[in-house]
Amino acid sequence: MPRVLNLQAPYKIYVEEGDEVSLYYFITDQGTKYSISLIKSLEFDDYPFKDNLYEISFFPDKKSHRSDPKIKETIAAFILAFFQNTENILLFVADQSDGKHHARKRLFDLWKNEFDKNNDFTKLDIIFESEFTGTYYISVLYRNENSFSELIPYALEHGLQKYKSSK
Amino acid sequence: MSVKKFQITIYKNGKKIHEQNNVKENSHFVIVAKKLIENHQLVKGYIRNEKKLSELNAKGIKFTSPL
Repeated sequence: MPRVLNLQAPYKIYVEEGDEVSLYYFITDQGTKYSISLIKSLEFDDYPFKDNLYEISFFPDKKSHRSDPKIKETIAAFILAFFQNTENILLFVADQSDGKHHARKRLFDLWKNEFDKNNDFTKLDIIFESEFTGTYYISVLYRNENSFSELIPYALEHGLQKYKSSK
Repeated sequence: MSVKKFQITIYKNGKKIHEQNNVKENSHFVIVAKKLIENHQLVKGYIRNEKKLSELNAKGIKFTSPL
């Protein structure tokens, strides 16, 4: 029997824990299964916040044609629970495989504005444009009180600084 | 051989804090951003049963459940 997260969310969020894979999921009233994954990123190994940095992804198992506000409320409850550890940092890549990445980015912006009325969070948005593969949106979310709140944006730019100095 | 170029713009709470054009493919930031995007695509592939866990492990991806 999967563990259930103790959250104030419209849909119950379950934890599927295996030896190597841990996934979260919830089932909507329409029967759509949303999987939520958190993975550890090894890309910032040089930085002191590396242990609190997670990449989040969420995917439905089928397309839904009906708007369901409980989905955003459930994902928002999950994200807020994640930030009970005030040191945590969340990375979000807007999936662009179906060409709807602009809409996903806008949705993520709307959620942040809706659920962060007190402006407790900082959001960094990175627009990464490639002449070959198009535009990607990467967002980074963390609490203002995070011990590394000053360092995080610097860390993102650090590569660019290195690039500049090596030219 | 042509050199791939990238553009990177960073916003903090909606305010632009950095913009750079013509960033080369071998710059640190481009390598990091591409890795994050690749991670996302591999995780999606795994959840949709299109990728094997071994492929993700080989890339250093670890699923975790901090909640």
